[in-house]
Amino acid sequence: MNASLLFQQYGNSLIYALGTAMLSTLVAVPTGYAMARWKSVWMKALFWCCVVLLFLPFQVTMLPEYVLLDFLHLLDTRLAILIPGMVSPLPILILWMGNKQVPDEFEDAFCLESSSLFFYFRFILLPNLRGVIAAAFSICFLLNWNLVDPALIFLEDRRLWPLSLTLLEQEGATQLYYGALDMVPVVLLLGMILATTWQWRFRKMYGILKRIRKDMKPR
Amino acid sequence: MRRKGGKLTFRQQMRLTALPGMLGVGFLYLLPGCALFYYASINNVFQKRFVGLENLLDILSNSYFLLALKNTAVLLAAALALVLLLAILLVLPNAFFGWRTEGVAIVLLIPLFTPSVISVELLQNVGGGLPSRWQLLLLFVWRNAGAILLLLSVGMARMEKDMLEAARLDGANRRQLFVYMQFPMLTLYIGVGAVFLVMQFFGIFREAYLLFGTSFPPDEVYLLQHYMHNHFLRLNYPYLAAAAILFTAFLVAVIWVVRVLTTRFIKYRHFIGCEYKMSEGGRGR
Repeated sequence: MNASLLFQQYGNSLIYALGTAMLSTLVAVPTGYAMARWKSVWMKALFWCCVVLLFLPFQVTMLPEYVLLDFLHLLDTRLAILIPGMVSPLPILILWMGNKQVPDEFEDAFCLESSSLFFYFRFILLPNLRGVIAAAFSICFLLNWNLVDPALIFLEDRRLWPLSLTLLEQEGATQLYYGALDMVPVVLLLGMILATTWQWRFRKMYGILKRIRKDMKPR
Repeated sequence: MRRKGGKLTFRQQMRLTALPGMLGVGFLYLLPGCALFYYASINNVFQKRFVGLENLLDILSNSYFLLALKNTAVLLAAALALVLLLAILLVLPNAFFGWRTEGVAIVLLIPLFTPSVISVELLQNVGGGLPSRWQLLLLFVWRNAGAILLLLSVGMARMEKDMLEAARLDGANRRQLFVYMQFPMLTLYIGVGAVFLVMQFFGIFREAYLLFGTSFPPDEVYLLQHYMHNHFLRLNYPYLAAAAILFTAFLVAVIWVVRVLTTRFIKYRHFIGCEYKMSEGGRGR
């Protein structure tokens, strides 16, 4: 196995994980908002569809997806992973929960001033949902990083495989080496999350210290 | 209904935001899902003769399908109980001594994101002699305990401290605080954790495949996913489609039952927890 193929597969893994995470979060933000605010039969149906889809194993959706991709002539391309991953129920439900936490009064107050949904999203909703969106994105990324099943069924070409699929074929030291390589982004992301939480704690402590010093200053 | 100048009102724009999700779910899942009904009603892929419900009836009397169904139910219940119990045990120090458990949880989260091959190799070195059911359960616990622990410790951190303080002033000890106040307040997080676990359990096919090397494992861990995977490989689409439809039907039935039970439970919740009513100015007492 040569190095260029390895790097290509590493890049594929990144494309699949980042692409599905970004696309599904992009779809989930407006959908979650609509699901939390619009009280109608359609949204109820969509919600229960999402709940059922969340639990369905890949083996159930395999045949319909295969038929769809075959119809679109997308089998054995990168889009065969990205398009089914574009709408995934997990980020939609996470964003639905996040949107339910945002009080209705924000919307009422905003509607007194303007009726542009874009500006509502830009200035009110997205800043409030920053944490939830980041959580949905990172959960999607991490769960899609080691994807095996769809790649095994939909991709024949080795140059399109993600690294996790090649890992299955290796043995002994090579497997360990590939495994370590595969773990790098995961450890980086988890480390980043840890560092951010610690930073919050430090910032809080720093603020308290500053306030104490200010109080102690002679006036 | 449009306003002057052809602009949409805020409500109309809000309804438009539902479009991406509706279109996505419709075109990527529901419309191709109709193919399942087509494939379930033909005799095989080559002749394509219409046979109606014959495949469904065939499957329901197939001993391997029934075995797979039984195994899936048993293993799912065991896995859920094990992981939730372990996570509650690990969160106890937080409840009793006030230790923070988020850091431990994030470290325990790493197994979830290691490639499954590495986890399987580790398990074969450590517990290769165990019965195959226990091997699978151990793998599941090893992968998912961290996520549930993280969820529970976030739940503990978000709890209202004032009420606990008030109860302590009234003379409640640690055990009473945990059993009567903290645990009922954690039930929401435990529910979310259970949903996550069920989702993860249906993805366990990958680990089972790697652990036993084939998609024909010993009978005691033969899951529905194996059944469907094998029929896909044999190009036996009618049986696969019928099994998928049956599986979805079971799932919908279970979700419906759980929903009815939980709504009833939430209705009578004030006998158990009181936290919702009390947070609204004590109207519920």
